[in-house]
Amino acid sequence: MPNSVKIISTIILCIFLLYVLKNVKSKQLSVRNSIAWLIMGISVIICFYQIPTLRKLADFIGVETVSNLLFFLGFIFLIFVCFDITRTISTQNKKIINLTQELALLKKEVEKNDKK
Amino acid sequence: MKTLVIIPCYNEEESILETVRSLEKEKVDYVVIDDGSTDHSLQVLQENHLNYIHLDNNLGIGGAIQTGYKYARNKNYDIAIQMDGDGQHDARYIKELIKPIQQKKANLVIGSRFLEKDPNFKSTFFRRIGIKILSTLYKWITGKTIKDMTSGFRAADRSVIEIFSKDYPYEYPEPVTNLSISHKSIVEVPVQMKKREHGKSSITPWKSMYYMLNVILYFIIIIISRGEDYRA
Repeated sequence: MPNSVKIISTIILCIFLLYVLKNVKSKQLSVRNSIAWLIMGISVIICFYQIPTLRKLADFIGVETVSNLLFFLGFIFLIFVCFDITRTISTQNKKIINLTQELALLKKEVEKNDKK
Repeated sequence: MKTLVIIPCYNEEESILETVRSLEKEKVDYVVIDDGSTDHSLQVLQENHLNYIHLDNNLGIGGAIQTGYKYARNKNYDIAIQMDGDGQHDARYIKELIKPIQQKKANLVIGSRFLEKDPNFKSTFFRRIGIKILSTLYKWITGKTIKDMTSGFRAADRSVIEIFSKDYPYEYPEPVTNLSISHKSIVEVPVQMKKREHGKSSITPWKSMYYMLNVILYFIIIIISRGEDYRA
């Protein structure tokens, strides 16, 4: 991989990592949800500078080229993130339903007490 | 025994008042759960001073019914009956529905359309087949028989009220709960249902098939994930 590509990619990824941290600071992204993206960003930067190691890994797994191995790892990462998001949505859905029900029951009690 | 009728209501402005009035003769308490209706249902409930709970978000049938079970638990009711707001369930059957619970013979009583021939019950071929398949699957899993797996006309005793107020499926609640409380005593009593008087039924052959396939998938996932022996 040419050095210019490495440098440009590293800069882009560093900007991305800073953006993730900025979102954590402004509380738009929770620390828990930022971890996967930070690990991903740092891992990709390490990969850029460890191509021979990746080649060995690709040979070991039986993947023809390093780029295919990276695509494969990226795919697995995205599936993991998607599953985590689905799980979070399911949990939040349950919480929203519970809150709506409890709010409605509480309103009913308050209205009843007001009438008295 | 203190009995509460839970009536879920989503856009039933034409039939909800009639449904509640039909309960007056039966001398039971009721609560209408307005599931965030977008028509004038809430107005009808307010103007007629009916006992209702209004949900700010539309939670779907499962979420609305569970609100009723939570209300029944909080108010210490002994029996909770589910009854649709569209007028299809006949209040005259309430006495029959609660009898097995009063006699301590059942924890859940289902008003079944298939125990006696119901001239009013008309359904599509796919829907009948779907219910039959679900019933067969249920028998195969639990060793018990429920002929009307999708009936929403049901009475629950205190132990089932407690279970349902804690955990109630938001989708396909009737067949799924029949499975989740299969360890309880479930009894069916024959009922006849009225024809829908207002509005249109949303059930099409495709929806029936989709419903059945989804419920079968739910059953499989529940069985695998819980790893319980339903025949025990």
